Amino acid sequence: MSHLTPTEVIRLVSGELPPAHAAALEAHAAACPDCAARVRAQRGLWSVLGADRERTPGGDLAAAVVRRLNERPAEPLRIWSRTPVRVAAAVLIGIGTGYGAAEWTLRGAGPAPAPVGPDLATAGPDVELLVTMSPVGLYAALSDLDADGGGTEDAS
Amino acid sequence: MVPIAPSHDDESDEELMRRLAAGDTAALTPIVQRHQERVIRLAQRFLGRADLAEDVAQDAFVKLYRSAAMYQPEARFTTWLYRLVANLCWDRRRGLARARRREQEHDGAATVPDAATAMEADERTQRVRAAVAALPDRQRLAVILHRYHELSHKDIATVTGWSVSAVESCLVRAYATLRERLADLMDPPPEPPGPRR
Repeated sequence: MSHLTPTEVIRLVSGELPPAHAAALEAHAAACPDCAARVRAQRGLWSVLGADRERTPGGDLAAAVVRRLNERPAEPLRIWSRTPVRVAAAVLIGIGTGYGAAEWTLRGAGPAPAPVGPDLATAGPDVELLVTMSPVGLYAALSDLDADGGGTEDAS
Repeated sequence: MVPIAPSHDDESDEELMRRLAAGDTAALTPIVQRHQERVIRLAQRFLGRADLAEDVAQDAFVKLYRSAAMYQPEARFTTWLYRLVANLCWDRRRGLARARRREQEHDGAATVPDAATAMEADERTQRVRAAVAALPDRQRLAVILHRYHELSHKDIATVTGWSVSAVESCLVRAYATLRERLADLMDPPPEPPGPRR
């Protein structure tokens, strides 16, 4: 059997190991001076640390907690203090979304602002808009499609 | 109003929490009475100050009361409670560290005594407390939960949110440091370990 790992030494001394595992480690330590010394040292420390038993205050903590809860029923206050921020955020998001939708409607050809972008497969490219916005890239690609006869447009 | 109720020794923690979640505030007092000692001991050892420990304990039970509806009895109640207390201790520790930095900037020197000095104890106990208090925060918390609250490595991982291997690494380093610093208190003093293979 290999030497005890530092974690095994700790778990052996603190009594966390299942009895069979602990017995195997003890058997190894009994025959191995190095591991025996490490187990002894950890037992010594365990005992030194354990001798320090703190005195805890014997006051009535429950009464103090109850008093605090009765003094400060903080939950409703917290809800109200956060609500204006949430309402303001919702209004700002609403205004932003509305503005964006209106802008899209005014700039685009159709009355419906709903889609995120024009449906190229069915509506075909809005060449006017694409020329204004971007003379390269997507426009160039769509121009090629147009030259080929409109891609899937004829399918409908 | 939250009434103070008589003790309910026969009821489990989970049952008391269920009652608390359902609005039965009388369930608070038995929970506090049952666990106040362990909560105060953890906070006191971690923060090193009895006055702060009681504050943290009050905060912990107020928080427990307010979050009772969110309690899920999947983990052991004490593990859940330890986690709550450990988080409050971390918060308090950060606050103390900030205050200490401000004081140092203001006065040009450290004026806050080390954690262990505020506790009453004999010399031997003072040595032990000072050695534990001088450990880095994570190692100290791991040792306190392991040695003084008898939590397993796995439970410490649940309480702290660290991995089990991180907990074990903390414990190995912390105990090695403590063995070195407290060697003269051990009976008999430990022999120097042989070469590690």
